[in-house]
Amino acid sequence: MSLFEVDTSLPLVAMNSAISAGSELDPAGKEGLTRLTLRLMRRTPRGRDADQTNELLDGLGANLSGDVSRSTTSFSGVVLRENLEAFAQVMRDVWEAPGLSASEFALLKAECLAEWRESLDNDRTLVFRGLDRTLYGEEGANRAAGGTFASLSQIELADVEAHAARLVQIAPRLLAVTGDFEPEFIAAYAQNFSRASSAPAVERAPEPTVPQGRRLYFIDKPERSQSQIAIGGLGTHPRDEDHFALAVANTIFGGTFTARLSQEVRVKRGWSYGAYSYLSLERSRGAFSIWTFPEAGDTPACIELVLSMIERWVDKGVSEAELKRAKTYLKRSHVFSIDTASKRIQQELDVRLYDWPSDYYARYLGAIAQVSVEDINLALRRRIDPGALAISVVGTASTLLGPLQKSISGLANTELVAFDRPD
Amino acid sequence: MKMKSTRGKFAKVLEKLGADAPEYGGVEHRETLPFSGELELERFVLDNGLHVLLLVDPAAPVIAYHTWFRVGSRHEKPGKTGLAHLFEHLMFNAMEGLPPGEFDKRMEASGADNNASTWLDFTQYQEAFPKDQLSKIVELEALRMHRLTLGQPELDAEKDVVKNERRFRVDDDVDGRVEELLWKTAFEKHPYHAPTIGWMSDIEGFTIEDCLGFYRRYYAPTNATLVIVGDFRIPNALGLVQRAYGKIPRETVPFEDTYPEPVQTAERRVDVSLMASSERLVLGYKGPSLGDQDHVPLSLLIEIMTGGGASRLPKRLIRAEGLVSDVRASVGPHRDPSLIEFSASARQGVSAARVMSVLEEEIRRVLEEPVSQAELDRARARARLSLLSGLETADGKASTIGFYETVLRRPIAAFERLRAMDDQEPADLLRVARRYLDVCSRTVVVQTVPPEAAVPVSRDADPSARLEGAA
Repeated sequence: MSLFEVDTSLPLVAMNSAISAGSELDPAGKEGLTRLTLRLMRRTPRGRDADQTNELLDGLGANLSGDVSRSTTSFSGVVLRENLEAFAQVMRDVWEAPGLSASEFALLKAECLAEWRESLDNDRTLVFRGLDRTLYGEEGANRAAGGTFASLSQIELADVEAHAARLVQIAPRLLAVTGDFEPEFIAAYAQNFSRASSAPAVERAPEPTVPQGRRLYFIDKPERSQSQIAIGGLGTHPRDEDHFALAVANTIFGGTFTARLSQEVRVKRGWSYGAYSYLSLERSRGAFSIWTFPEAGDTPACIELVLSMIERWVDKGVSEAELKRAKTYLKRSHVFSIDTASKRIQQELDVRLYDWPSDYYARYLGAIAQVSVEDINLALRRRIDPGALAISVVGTASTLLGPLQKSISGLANTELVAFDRPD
Repeated sequence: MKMKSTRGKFAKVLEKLGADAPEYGGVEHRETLPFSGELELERFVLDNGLHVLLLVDPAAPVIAYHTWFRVGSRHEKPGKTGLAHLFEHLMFNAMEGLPPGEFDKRMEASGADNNASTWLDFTQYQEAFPKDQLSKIVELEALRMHRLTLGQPELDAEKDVVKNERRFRVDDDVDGRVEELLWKTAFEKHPYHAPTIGWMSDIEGFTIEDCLGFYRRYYAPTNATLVIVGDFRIPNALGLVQRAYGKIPRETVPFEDTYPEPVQTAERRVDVSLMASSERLVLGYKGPSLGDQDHVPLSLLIEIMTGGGASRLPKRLIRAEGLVSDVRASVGPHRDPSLIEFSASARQGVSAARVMSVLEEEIRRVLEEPVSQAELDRARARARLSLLSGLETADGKASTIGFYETVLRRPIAAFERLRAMDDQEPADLLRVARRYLDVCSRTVVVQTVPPEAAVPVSRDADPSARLEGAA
């Protein structure tokens, strides 16, 4: 299966190849296996080592990277037009002929562990890691694609070899190409790129569920002058009938600078440089999440405010004026989802990878236009439960945890972890 | 009649515009410059000194609209650092006829994605929007160039926002802290000494008078360039710009009262202990300005040292010896001479001193022997890929044009630099390495970790067997 669009405005070609399975394939206790496997495949096409591969790609004027989400695995890259043929061969080889040498595996594993440790310095990474963990729990298919220090430590070369053999069998392997190329060349290339598979279908994880009550996951880090806050619950799936209503509701609540959240937290109170909400899209039901980062002393009041805003949003709904503004913005800004060939092709790719309705993007504008205040208010009450939210905070527990526990009404439980011991 | 030179391909357009020009809105066509592919960049200048760069690119029904001011944190005085950046935030507040918040509402109603940024040499404002919204955006941007109003509540709230931005980017961020320390130490007299976001005590102290004074001094048409890229017609865009901006009088921008940085004659070193997962190291050598002809070969040299997976430092420090989790380098893209920076994050248990010794070996290597032709070819290919990748969208094109116009007054300098790269030989890179990578001109910041903060390492859990001195 291949998708392509010629665009001769720049002498570049972008290629993306992907399968519809990702970190959900990671065995329990070896989280991060798919990602580590993909990285080793990227380094060792046709028996090269990483230095040889990097020299080849740099010489072509190309970049190539691997990416793993919960339910997708992909290689993507860009190359100078004149070197497309050689790059296309590398793209094929990372899938079909990875060397997976023991020496490269040892180096890569050490790198992954070092990167994981360095990520402890990034408070934003930590807070969203905490949110995922609190939202989805530590079991099942929703564990972190990057793995943990403990799980990465458990992965051996034999695991990677077996996993690479599994990944290469998964079909269909989709190919998307945009840029300045000869269509005949890509058509011929694509014929041999995707192949039929005899592998069993990927077993999909059940839809995630959310426990009742508000749960606080506090990541303790000394000397924080500021807290990172992520609050979330489950959102919708593109197949849900109220999906577009919730998308508009999110725009009104925290999707733009003039949305409620930014106005109350940043503009009126100056509490944080940013305050936004998001709806993620995945194969399974995505998350609704909020991110903000106030000064440490403002943290309890900020969380209290955000929780009360969510309650009011769900309880009182939105106004006609808010709906009208949000629709206008979504309609007019939609052009930026399709203003380049690579964005247009990516949409088609996503629909196939995530098994969304085939007309999802085609009907986007029409569906947004039809959303009413009643649709939104119904969707909010159905999808967002203010009493069952995960609250992840990175801050200094000695000064903050007590006040925070007092200020969060309906707090069902608290988990306190040291930032350097999240495993 | 305000019309000036009407010769050339825009004669009729300018003649028509001249007939309707507001007081300061006479328009002159200055030059046509080749851009990528078939595209051409046109420069026009209004009577009030506003430069307008237009690039018609019908690839998508969108327009990118950037306003670049030649004012940045380099124009600030001690005690008033961070003013350019704070003012950038305030530019989204109230204007005559528009209460606080209305500017953003109108932008969003146009479907515009808007943002702004401030750095050492410039402040820029940018919007990308559907092409049928151009007239509204021109009106809004012209309004805030000369009709901004400030209230105390908005200033107080925005100062709090900026203080939180500083906590986010600097105070609670190890890399941000180390970077700030490097520039503070490397520059003693030149304003590059101070961080663009400002010192916390300075941010707290700003008054309405400070802000309005800054606005009056620097936000003048003669100190700005409009860059418009996308699917529009030049006569229409010029007419809109003329009507909206032609009402703004020409102002004189104060001369820049800065001093060059004295020559550094001895290495400077700072040690700092911070709560972090591992030690870090940052080196800053005094380097050339962006406009200096040495900047191009130095950029290629840095690309060869850290520019990709195949470059020297990642190969050795990350892969071969497993000493760091990350290593980077850059040549400051600034109007005045700034820093050639090397930074590395040591792996846990590895000392910054160990990383330093390897880094110095690699720097000595580029001082002693020329790079290989293959390395140079790879660096050129990467530079070309990087430039072209940044030009995919209208916004990317406008950013590239605006940056080089504001810093160098040469809006297509990105392409000139690419051509200059083709002329460089290994000997050129050797020459600039010897000229700039001098120990006496460098500043070193070494960040260690307090003993109580060290994350224990389990040797059993790590098969790399490369960790040194595990806590």
